[in-house]
Amino acid sequence: MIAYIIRRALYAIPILVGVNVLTFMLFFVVNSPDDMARVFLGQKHVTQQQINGWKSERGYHHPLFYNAEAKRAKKFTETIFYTKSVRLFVFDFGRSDSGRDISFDISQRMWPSLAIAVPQLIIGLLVTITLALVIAFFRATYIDYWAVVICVALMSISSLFYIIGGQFIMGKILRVMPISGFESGVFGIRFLVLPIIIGIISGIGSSTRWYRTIFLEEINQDYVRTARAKGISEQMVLFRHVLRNALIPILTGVVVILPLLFMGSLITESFFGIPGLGSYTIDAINRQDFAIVRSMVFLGAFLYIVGLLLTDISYTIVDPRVRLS
Amino acid sequence: MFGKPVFLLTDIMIFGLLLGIVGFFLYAMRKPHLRQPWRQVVRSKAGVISMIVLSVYIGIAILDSLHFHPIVDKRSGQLDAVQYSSEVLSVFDQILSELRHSTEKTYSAPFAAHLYAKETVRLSDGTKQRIYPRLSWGGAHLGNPRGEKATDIFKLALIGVIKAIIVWVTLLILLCACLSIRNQQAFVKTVLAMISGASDVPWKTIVTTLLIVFLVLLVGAEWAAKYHVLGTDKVGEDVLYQALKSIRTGVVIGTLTTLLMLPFAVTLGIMAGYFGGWVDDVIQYLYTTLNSIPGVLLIAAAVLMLNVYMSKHAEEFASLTQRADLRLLFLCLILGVTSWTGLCRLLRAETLKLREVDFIQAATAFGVGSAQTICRHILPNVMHIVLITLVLDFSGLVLAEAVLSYINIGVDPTMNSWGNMINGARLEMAREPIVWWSLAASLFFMFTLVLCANLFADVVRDALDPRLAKR
Amino acid sequence: MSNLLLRVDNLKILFESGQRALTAVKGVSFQVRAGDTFALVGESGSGKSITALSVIRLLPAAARVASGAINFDGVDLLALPERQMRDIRGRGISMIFQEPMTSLNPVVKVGRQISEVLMRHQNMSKAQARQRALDLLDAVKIPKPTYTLDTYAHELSGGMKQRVMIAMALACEPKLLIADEPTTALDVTIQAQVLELINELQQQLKIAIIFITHDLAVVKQVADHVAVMQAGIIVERSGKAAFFSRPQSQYSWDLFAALPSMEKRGQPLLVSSHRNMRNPVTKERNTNHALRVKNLKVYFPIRKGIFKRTVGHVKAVDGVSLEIPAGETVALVGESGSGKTTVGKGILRLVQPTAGEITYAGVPIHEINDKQLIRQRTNLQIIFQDPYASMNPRMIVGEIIEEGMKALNVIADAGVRRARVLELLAQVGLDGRAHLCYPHEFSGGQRQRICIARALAVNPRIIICDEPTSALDVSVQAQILDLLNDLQHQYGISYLFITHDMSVVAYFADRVAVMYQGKIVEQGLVERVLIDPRHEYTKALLSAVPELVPPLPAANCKHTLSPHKA
Repeated sequence: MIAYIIRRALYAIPILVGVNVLTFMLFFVVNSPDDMARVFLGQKHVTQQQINGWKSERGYHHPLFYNAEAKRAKKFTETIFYTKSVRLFVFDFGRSDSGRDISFDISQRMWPSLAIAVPQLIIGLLVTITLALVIAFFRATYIDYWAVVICVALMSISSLFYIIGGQFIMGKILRVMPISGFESGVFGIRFLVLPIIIGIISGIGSSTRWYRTIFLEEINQDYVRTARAKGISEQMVLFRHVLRNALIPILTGVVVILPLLFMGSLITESFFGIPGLGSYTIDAINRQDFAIVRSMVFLGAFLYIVGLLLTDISYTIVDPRVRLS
Repeated sequence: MFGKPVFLLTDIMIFGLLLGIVGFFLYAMRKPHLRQPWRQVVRSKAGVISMIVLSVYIGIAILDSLHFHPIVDKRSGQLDAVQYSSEVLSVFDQILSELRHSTEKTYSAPFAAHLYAKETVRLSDGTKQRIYPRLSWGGAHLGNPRGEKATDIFKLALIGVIKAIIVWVTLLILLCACLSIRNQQAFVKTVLAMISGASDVPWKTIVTTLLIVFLVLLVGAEWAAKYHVLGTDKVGEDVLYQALKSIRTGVVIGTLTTLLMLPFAVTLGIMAGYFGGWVDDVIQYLYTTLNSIPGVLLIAAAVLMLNVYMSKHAEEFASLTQRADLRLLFLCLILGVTSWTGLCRLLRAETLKLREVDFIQAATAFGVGSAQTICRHILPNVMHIVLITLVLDFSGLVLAEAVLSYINIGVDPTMNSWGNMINGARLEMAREPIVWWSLAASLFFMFTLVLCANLFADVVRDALDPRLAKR
Repeated sequence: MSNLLLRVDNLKILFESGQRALTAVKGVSFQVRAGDTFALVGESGSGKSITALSVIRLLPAAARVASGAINFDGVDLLALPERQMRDIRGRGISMIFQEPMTSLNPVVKVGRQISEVLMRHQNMSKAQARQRALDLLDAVKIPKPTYTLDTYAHELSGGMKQRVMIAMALACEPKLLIADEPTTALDVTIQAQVLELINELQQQLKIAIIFITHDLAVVKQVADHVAVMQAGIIVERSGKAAFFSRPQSQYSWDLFAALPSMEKRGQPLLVSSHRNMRNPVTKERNTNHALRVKNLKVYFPIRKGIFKRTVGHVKAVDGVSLEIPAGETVALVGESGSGKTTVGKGILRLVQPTAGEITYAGVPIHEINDKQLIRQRTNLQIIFQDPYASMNPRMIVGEIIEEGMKALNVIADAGVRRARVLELLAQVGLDGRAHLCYPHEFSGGQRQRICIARALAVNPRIIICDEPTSALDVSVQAQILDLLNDLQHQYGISYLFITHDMSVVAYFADRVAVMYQGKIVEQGLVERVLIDPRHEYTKALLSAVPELVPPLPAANCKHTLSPHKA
């Protein structure tokens, strides 16, 4: 078991190296730092001096991989690759192109993201699993048919519409909640309710339908027939036998995204003015702040790999068949 | 002709794809096991409805993909050489040329005859007054809009309905004639069979859907000739025109993305599953690495880099249209990079299973080579997964375009797309009085396409998935 | 006469798919007396399982009872509301199923699954139910019952799982137990144990059993009364003694006739097969063309630890030596997991052998390179167990048969090849038009014929038959065995016949090798090994096979001579 986890963790290292090299290529080899400087400073009438100044301010003035002018080990450390990419492995994100400490920003901004993402995930799971279970109970009836049609319709609506529509109805017509903003502490909850509700509703269609398929697949298994042959009621069959088996794929599917909850949701946060990591990323994209985008790419990849690892571990915990072998 | 044809990259790929689909269709007609599932699709109600609506969308997208440089009006003295404009238009633009040119000053509501904002106008007697001025195009034919508009709209609708019914009936007669020739049956009998619903094919549903489609198209056309049916936006451009032009963008992203990633996903997925060993390890490493980068961030990073590249090499692009087109293609490519891993993993798993199945072992026992085995035995048996992915991904990609354009990493801002429309309209919701039509139009057009695509995908999956067929 | 427990009258069951309805059971009537064992016998598709499921009202969603009555212990089951029916399930009527692997919930502990039924019907507390479950596990003779209570299903072997199923079914001491092919998925030694257990418990608890099976030998062992079903109809209903001495229906006679046995060696199982045996060739004994396997080993590595180092091996085949003389049939017998299939695949190098020598006609198959191996593939061919999986569903039969000829360049010319395909189809008794059809259009037996034609296409000298008849009904098995026999007579092909079925060995093989845990424990001529086994395992295996002496055909001559319907 421990050997297994260690092996999986070791397997993550080459993947992180791959992600690192890939982003480095994308950010520094496709376009040189000079090009970035030019874009950042504005296209026209930029002198080479201004460009050099911009570069050295942000540490882009070193060569990419090999610094022939530096001494000994510094031949490799005083390069963009070392300062900007290798340092990511110790979570040293450095400074953003506008000069702020990225690590500090991240540590500040992940809490609002979590405040939305965690309740949204938990409540969303409860709601969708219950709905799917109810639909599975009424399988092969008109209720089932129309429930699926409604699910398909719900998942055909753009998430943008849910947000805009939700803001419009709740904020402008009913005037029950503030449509955007954020405040820490207990009173901040009123700012969170709307984004959480909208997040849940926009995911309801696809996940309910997906969970329904999982339930139906389980219902067709032989052991369900055995349970029925014991004289157990249909509700108990669903609850005690089907749900337990179906929860394995559902929960392990959720575990993958658990770490990624830190990253927040890009659109929701920017629409509702939540100062989380999602809106942080969006702002960085809009400001063309390469340093932040690069850091978020690495962080995202790292969290995903943690998610994969957690999935493997959770399988061995949840599924008795995996536990032994 | 209208002018000199232009082939944008995406046009070429769209038509390539179209040829491919037609080719596959002809091939499938000869193979009963391929024909069977498609028969099932045609027999389901949801299947035919969504197919008809989808084909309207795709038809528009195809018309919008026939591009050309229009001829500039010949001036005297230059009779010998035809002059072409540097502007790129499509056949669809030509059809909608009236809508395209009918710009107003700023916002106007659907079917309005007046602007949505007050303006100071100098009246004939010299006094200034703040009024809602008349639109220069929408409802311009009306003398007194307040009194005449409702009847005029109704009259136009009536004409549209009559036209639609004429077209519909003609089509029905043709259809019944074709059917009665094919089935060697009396014409009347065919009609009766259609009405009674005796056939496996849900003719009643097909015919009704067709009628609705014709009604919407032709009544809409009547109205659009005289009014801004969906209003105008901030710079006075017709919203209906924008929404219609966005169809091509959505369809291109939905289809070309999958098309671009397909060769990689299929080759790598099957290779990983079939050969196993280090080949499998390398391919798995490749897709885990790519998969681990959150899709939006990878797209954001790539598009940012493209922006830098494009602004550095601005002189390389012949026209704005070409530049926008290249960016669209690039977006498809990068969306493909983020989405091929799913299909690759599915194919790997399926191939792993197939490799152990007896008929592959039998082929090995006959000394059939690896390449032959993959082409003859594995590929045909995983093709359903590829097709299911193709249709399932379509709707997700259309939705993704909107979100990406909204956060400025989608298609070129000059290109018509639903995402750009929403992006431009989001602040209008906060206006007093509220401007809702841009948003509503884009969301409605997108919803219809995505809903039909989803329904179609469901039917196709049910028909193609052998696991479901057994039940 | 004991009193009547179950009475089924004129039961009709429909399968509905879309607009069409298919009658699976066409008016079946039977009665079961308390404490009796009633065997419902039939081949696949006869409607026997559906009939049984309708008694406990657990029909699949697509099926429904169209008409008829089921009366259990004075209650009309079909009229009962679902809630009351649930009270009967598990308490009045219980059921055990064919697949012990999938019939237990994989994520619920075994003890919990047993106590669940007790808590449902007997209002026991959790602790009481657990205690009772422990007693039940003890009663079904599970070693270490306390430990087993807290295990999951996948930790148990197939036989143990079926014991757990029995414990669960008998927990509330029902009056009727429906056993749907309870031993079909089990090895013959395990089958014997489970049958004995069921028998014992029946004596103790005085329950009635509806025993559904296709295996006449099992019927002989367990039944008091027999009903034979064919295509949704009960064609015969008799007491056991009468059934096994003088069956009344033609169909029963056919079933008995199709059973392979030592006595029928050398003669076709089916009368109709005679037409294919016009000019038998005497078996040539050419030792040069024998296949010799010496000390064959196939190991699969077990990898463990952080770096997945190989820590050990699963010795699937551990030093097997065999000789298959030209024109003879060597049977390789063993239970599941004994490594017999791996031997077959190792010989063909479909699985790479770890060590050992394989020589055919002097060619060392085990060490030649791929190119030379392909040349040898015309000599060695294989037929698989599952006729549904052994053909590519996307190819037509013509292409399937042609593939080997093309790949191995047996016949280069396309026209000649086409003619050969038709010839082969005729040879295996199929219509020539079949070459344009897809595999799914054929039944299991026909598919197996196509597979035989495919193997024959490259003119092999040796065919490895990997349980070619175990997925087939007994009458179809007889056809395939006759066909194989016939081909051997005509072409002098040798067979390595891999099987678990002793009666097939007794009928079909010249020599037999008994395999146990990757090794051959005993081999020799069939007559010698089956009659005078020397190794303990062979003895155990043979004694586990239920004995069945078919009724003498002489008593009913006219039936056996009448043509068999396909």
